[in-house]
Amino acid sequence: MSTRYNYDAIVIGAGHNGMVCAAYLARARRRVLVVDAADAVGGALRPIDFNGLSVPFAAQLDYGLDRSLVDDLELSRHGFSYAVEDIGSSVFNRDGSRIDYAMSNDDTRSLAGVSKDDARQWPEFRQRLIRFSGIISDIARRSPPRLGGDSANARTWLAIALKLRRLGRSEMREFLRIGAINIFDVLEEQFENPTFKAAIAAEAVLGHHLAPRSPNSVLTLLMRLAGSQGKIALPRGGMSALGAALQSACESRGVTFRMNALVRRVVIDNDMARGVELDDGTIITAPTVISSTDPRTTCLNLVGADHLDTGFVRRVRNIRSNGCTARIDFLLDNLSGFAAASALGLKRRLIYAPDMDTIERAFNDSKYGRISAEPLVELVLPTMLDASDRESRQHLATALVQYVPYQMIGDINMARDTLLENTRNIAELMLPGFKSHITASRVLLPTDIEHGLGNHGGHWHHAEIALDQFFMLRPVPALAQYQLPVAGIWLCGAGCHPGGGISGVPGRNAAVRILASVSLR
Amino acid sequence: MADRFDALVIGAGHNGLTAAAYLARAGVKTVVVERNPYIGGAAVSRELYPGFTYSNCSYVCSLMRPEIMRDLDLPRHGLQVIPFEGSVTMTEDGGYFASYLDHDQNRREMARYSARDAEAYDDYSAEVLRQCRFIKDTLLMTPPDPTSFRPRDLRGLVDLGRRFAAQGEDWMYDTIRFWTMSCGDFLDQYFESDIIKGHLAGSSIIGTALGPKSPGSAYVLLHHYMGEVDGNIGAWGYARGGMGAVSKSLAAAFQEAGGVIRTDAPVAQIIVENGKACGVALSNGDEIRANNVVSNMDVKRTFLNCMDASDLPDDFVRQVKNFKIRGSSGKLNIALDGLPEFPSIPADCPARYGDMHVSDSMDYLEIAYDDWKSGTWSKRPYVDMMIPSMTDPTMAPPGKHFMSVFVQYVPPKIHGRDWADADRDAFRDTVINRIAEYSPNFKDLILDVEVRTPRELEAEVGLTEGNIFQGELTLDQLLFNRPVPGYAQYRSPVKGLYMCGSSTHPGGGVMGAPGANAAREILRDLKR
Repeated sequence: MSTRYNYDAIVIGAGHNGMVCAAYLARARRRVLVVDAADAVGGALRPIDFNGLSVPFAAQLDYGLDRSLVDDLELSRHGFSYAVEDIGSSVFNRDGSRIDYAMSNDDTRSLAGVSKDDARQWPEFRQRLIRFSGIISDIARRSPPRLGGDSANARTWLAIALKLRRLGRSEMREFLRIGAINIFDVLEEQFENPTFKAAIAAEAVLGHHLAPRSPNSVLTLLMRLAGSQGKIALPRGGMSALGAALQSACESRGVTFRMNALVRRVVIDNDMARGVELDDGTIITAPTVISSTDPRTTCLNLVGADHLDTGFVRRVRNIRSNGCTARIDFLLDNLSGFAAASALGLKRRLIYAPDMDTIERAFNDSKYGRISAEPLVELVLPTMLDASDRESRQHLATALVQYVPYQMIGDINMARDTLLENTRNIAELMLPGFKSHITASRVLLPTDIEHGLGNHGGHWHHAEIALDQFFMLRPVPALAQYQLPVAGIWLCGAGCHPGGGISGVPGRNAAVRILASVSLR
Repeated sequence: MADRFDALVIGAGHNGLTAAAYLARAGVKTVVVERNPYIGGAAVSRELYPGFTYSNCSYVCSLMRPEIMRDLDLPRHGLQVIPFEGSVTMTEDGGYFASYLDHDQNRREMARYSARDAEAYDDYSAEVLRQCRFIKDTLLMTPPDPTSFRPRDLRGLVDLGRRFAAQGEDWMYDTIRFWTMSCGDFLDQYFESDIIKGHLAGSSIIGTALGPKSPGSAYVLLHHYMGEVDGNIGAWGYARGGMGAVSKSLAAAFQEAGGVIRTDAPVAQIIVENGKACGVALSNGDEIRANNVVSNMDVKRTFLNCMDASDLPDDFVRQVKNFKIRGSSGKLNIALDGLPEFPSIPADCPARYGDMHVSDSMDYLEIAYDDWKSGTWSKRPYVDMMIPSMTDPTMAPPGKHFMSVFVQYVPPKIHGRDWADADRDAFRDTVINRIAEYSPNFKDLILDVEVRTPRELEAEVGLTEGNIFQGELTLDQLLFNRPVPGYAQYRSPVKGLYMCGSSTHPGGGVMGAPGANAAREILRDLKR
């Protein structure tokens, strides 16, 4: 039968989730085509040219690539390895003073310098977070069950309930309590140093349209820790190297890539997927079509409201998917003197967050369509972290800046300039002398990310992570099993459970579901 | 030692009186001790200006459970609730949006702003009603403990699960989302018009340290919808004679069953002997002995102020300390020389008899919340104004009127320091000036203003931080987590010591459910 179709499955989008999904399908001997509008693979990892230096389009760091997936797909055989597996972090106050910390270990030497009490509290608190994130990690790796349905669903719920009970009674109660609470209250209960509290709060809200006082911000912190117990890593060769390794893993299993091919729509016949139609009119057929772009774009643009019922369409329209994080790249030249002076800072992840109220105020601005006057910034120098990248005299610094609303009021170019200026000043404060080395810069607003990746809203996670868009509710209940209401159409992107952050889990979970389904012979 | 009681209730608030009335009717010899010279807690009617009756804390009635009204025969004891017709929000540009008891009238009103919203209103009200019905069933229930393996808890969980599942899978998803999402997101699903969303969102912030865009605020919206007057779900009414009428009728029911009330009796300490509560010491040194002590005070006051930490498990004390009671509300009670004009509202609009607002968009409310977060009262606050004397002439002398203005947001401290009188006056002026922008003759009519910031609410009523719900109504503090996990069944770690205030499930509002639930658990322990 399969000869009737060009492929067994077509994956729309060569982002990491699309490639992970394709690789798993190919590993199960399916003939898979990956199509992407860009000229190179990777999505957010895609290398682009920035004044002669190759930089990833949007991805910053590896916050929790699923390690079992690295093994399954034998990524190391395809050239993947880490330059740094556990990057230390430093948080900066307004006066330039800093505290070093890491979510992955109990080193409190720097913290003890500002607060003995906090240094005493931190290890226990951190270990508890890691323990709780273990529950979230277990949930994150599972394909969401439904609330009704068959006994397999019930078994999954039971397994999660047992895992929870195994925490012990008082820990389980604490987990249930803080799961819905905000990080502000939790940190106020535990710590006294405002900048240290802001650092942990920043870990919770980076990439999310949340502030420390927003409920759900403990959940997002646990999600961040769930991937790799708080380790933040950088692949050798930068983030784009992960994209290249995934491409190689796909191709070695026979996956075909077709680049520069924008998908106009999913071809549907008799309420069943038949393939995709490209922008140039070409039709490629397959009984299974998997979209790694966001759920809203998939449902409303690629599939079309005509094929979906109105209640469903309304829900999809209400998925919260507006990004609030901008990315700024700086090209730096001639760092030799500078590097010696601030060697330590250049190999760390630098967070600007004086106190939680500053983050909260930055968030307030964005609620009404303004960019934050004093933003939250995460700055790294990937070419400094990665020793394999030394031949170039040029260096790269990349910053994530919050909050930058998707729907902005006022002049967008002015906002761009202000954002750049604010970020440069903050970078200068963290790394004195930084400004004088800048030779070029690039600003990516959420709208630019939307433009470059095609995901509606330009959100990191394609859809906000919050309890009402989590697990069996993500992105909406009817899509939580990675499957659209139209037979043969699936989702495998960050908009699905468990979300973004370059984990690859949505792609893998989708592949597992697809392979278990009858719609793929 | 002649008067040894079976049960002693600390605080004659509506929940304390409800619990006491249930206990007394079951034959338990009960005394209620109240620190103020008057009963009622936050449900009081007080003549603070000659000839005027102030409902000076809580001001409207709807949430009082009808089951309790029936059980305790409150109408016979003098409680009469007069429903009022709807509410109205005035807009910045001189317009208005009103809501009514009648569904179709609401639709027509919405259509003035958006035909699409009028369409969506059917779905919206059906969904809200459905959520209300489900939650109503849980109000008079003791929350099961999900960490326990006792048959009673497991049964409770299964029962809750079954009731939940009976509504169908799709509805279960909607419900979980509803309990976790923000009011803003919830309303965005249905409506497009700013004024309609601003009008409806008001209910999601009352008494709550959340903005309408904070996740979790959708539930608070519901908390204010689930009341009923004469079987009309969502309707609100005035208690004839002010909110003190609620307390008075509860006290009458209690006293008829043989209960004793002692006012002017502030409790200094709960006496614990051999790990068991056995009475209270008053601040004048008197002791009153009882086999069981029931606290209507909030949990922080009960366990942190009136007990020795050594009588309690460390873990419990930590949890009580972490319980969130945020002051976020204030109140102005105003005696007026006549009826203020609100030119925006047509003279024949019956919503004038209900609650009036000036917050005409969701952003208005959210900005008001931003002020609270930064440590000051909202410069453009949410005001919930009502003039009960238009409906109930006993509240003010003929031709004069009593106006109650509830204000959100008002922080418990100003930039980290205590409220000073100058702050209170500045806060008063903020509110009065804001109202005067909508009512040209308002300022000229003012005879007296009683200002109540969280400081006054705490000092007079004893509510920690002046929080009207005795604890935030957020997901981490609801059901089996309220007030703290493991102690949601009205019992405390100390034998013979119970909680019956709004700090317990199902939370605040003049509902009486915590009191009734606590009494049921106490009677269970007493095997009555």
